[in-house]
Amino acid sequence: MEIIKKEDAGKITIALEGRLDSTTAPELENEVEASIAGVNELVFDFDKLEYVSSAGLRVLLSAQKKMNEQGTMTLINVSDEIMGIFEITGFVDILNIQ
Amino acid sequence: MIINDLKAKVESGVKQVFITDEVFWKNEIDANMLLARLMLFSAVALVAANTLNYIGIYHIPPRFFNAITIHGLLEILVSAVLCFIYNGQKRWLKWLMLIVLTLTYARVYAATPSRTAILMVIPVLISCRYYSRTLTEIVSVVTTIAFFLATILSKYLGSADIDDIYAVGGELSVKTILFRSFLPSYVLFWIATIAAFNIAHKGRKMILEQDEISRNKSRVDTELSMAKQIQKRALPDVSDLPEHDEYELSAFISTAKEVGGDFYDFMYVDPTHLAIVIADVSGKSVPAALYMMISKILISNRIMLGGKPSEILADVNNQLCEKHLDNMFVTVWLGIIDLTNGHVITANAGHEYPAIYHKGSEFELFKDKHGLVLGGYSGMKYVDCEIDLAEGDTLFVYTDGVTEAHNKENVLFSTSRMLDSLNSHKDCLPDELTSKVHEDIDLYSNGKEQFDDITMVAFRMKKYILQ
Repeated sequence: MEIIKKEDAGKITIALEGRLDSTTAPELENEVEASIAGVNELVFDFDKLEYVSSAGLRVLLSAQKKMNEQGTMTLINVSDEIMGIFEITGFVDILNIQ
Repeated sequence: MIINDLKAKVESGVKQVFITDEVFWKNEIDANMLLARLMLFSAVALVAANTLNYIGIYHIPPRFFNAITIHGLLEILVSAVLCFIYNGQKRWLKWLMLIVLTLTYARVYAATPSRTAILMVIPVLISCRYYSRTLTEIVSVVTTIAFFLATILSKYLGSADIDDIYAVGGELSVKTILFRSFLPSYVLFWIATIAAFNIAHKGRKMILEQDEISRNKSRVDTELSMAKQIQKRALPDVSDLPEHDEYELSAFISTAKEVGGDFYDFMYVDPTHLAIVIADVSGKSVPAALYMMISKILISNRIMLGGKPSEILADVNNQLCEKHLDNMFVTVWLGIIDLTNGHVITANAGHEYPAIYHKGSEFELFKDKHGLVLGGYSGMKYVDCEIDLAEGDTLFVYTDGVTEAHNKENVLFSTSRMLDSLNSHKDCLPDELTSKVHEDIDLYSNGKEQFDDITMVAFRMKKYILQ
């Protein structure tokens, strides 16, 4: 999985490419933890993301909880397959998906 | 019973603390056998050198060289043969062989120092193979004494270095021989010996570390297999349910690692209501298994307090959230079946859609309304859905290990293949149905390693309980 990060005055966009699963989720978790301080807008671009496993959902959940305290978190370009995963797991109820 | 067996295994693991000596003993036997072979090789070289000397290639005084060859051969053959007889399994063999080898080499050196300076380092290098610094140190001392004496001896018996004789232009004094012949070789000897000390010392440390690692691994393996048994026993067995002709139930689980996060549960809420749970904890292995134990107990306790599935899931969700377990979560499908009329009330916390087979049609996904996984956010609401099972209908629930099993091309088994599989065995009773679906998954993955736990529960309503 590739993580491409763009920073812009309090706004961070993290674009993911490949599979977000138990092998790649820790990498994303570290990246989010390292870059989230002082950020009030976090955007995940899922345009090139193929798959999210439960380990990936866990990272999104913890990012969402952190961002609830300091700003907003948005997911953009979510594919139908990944949308299906969010629907089944009920994550549609807590994530801001555009 | 099995737990007791496993306990015994763990205790024997504790005894393994003392096997380090055994590791070094095994190594010593190997080293002895290697040394015996090297000695035989030295014997062959000695005979060859003597032959060359005999036909005039070298100019070593033959009487002296013959004596060295005969003594050397005898000593070498006796010690090597002893080593072969005992299969290397005597503590004194290494001392015997290393000392014989050093003394033989020293005598050859006395005969012809200039050609054989390299012999000085060989015993020390071989001694490294025992990974004992003390042994290597003692061999280096023996070598020093033996070769020092051999150097002096070479003045009287050997063919002292020709270039030294040439340089001095006549008879060599002992002092000259020591400075010109012994000293340079001895400096080189120490370079090799310092390296040898290090190899022996580090080699020993490496073996100790490796031993530690493998002992830890075997302890962890045993503990994990105990944990696996405990986890298996935490799941209910269909045969423990009171006798029932009205329905048939089958539960199947296959974990990807020793322990896993999938689980199922079933229990009577009252004599006419059967609750079925299937769940999947995020993550794998030990953390998932611990979380599984907590959530399983919370769910079954809450079911027994009564109430609708949506209320049960909402309460368990709050309890799990209170524990702040590092954003782990569990997906849960819960159904409570009224056995008098096949009416099922279900609630779904982020779990896969159940598949329903109404007799005479096909298995289809039941798209219930999903709430969030349990343990994510406290205060979440869940929704009750209803299913009516007629006599002969089957309810099938599963975890994503079924739909996300993949083949060598990394293509998922998928929901549609699962439905195809279910439909090709749709009239099978639950036991057969789950095993057929598992066979189909196995066939599909075709040797690709199982990545996630695979869990299935099938329920067939055969006839309603009469009240």
